[in-house]
Amino acid sequence: MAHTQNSETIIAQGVRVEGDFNSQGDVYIEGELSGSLHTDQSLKIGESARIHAEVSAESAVIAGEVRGNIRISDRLELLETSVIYGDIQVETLSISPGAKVNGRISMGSMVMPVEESVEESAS
Amino acid sequence: MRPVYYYIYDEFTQDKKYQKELAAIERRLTDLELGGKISRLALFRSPEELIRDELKQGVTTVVVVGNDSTVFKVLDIVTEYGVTLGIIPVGEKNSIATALGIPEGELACDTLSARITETLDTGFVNGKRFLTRAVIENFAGDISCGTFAVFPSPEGKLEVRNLFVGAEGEPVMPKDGFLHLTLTTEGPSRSWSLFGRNKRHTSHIPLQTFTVTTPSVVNMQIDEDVLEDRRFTVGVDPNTLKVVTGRDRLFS
Repeated sequence: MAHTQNSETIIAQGVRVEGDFNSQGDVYIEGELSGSLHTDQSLKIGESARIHAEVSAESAVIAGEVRGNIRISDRLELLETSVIYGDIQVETLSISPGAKVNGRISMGSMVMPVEESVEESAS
Repeated sequence: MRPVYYYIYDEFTQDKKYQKELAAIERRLTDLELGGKISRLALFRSPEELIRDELKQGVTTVVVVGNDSTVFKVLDIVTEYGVTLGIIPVGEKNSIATALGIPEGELACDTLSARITETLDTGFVNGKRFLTRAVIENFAGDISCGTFAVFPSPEGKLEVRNLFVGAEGEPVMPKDGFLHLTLTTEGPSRSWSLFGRNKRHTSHIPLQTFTVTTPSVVNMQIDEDVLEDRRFTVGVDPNTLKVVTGRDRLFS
């Protein structure tokens, strides 16, 4: 496992990362990444970024494209240019008009599948 | 225990234009009771041999009187023996002293006297130790970092920074246990609405060990030396250089 620490990691446009990327600090991506992506801190995925990975972080702001499931323990912000193909599990979610989400969304500290929540409120 | 000083003057300091400055430095060192044996580097006088002999006599602090090149000349031996390094910057190209917060010339003697010491990381490439940075100017290859690999495109500048004084605002982090890989490429920006329009793209990844591979043999500049290869094994050697610093050092 490759750890990075303290200072921000930046994957700029024109750089491709392949494999399991694991960081303990803030991560900002404008390039491409495939595999898995985890950080203990905050994650920014810029508009030009293309991510094909399972993503997990404490908090995240996404403006680019993510193909893969996303798990955020605190706050996730999807900006208007974001495109998500995958399920989202998050505590607090903000979605700007224009953002595209193709997958299930589970929210709150007591996360449960969306279908079960709907059935319970109907009964 | 009172430190025992040994002074290494670089060869270029024998130029007449430095005589006045050196005389002032020596007066100040005497005033501060920081005197010690002096050796002057010259062609065919290995600094390593000079220092090794003096270490046997109980020297605890090696002070270089010169510039960045002088520091590079003694780096291996002072890290090998774990003795403290002091710097009295004279002449041009003193970026190491700047990063360490050491003023030039006579004022550096007071910094030496205050004796604020820090223990810094150093890096190594294919077994060769470095202090500041390693650079490949036109890099086209890949960087393998254990569980992941990095591929820049198009080719760009690869730098591995440790004690590096770059543009204003760039961090200097020689004590964090990491080397800082930066990749700078140029190309059209695909995005300007969110994070600003830029044509120079700089990636930054803090790492401890990694391997740089290139399709053909290239030069990697390491401090002031050059290594020629197509595979470079890079790593950090944490807490290996004890050095006297000033209050204005550029890191915490």
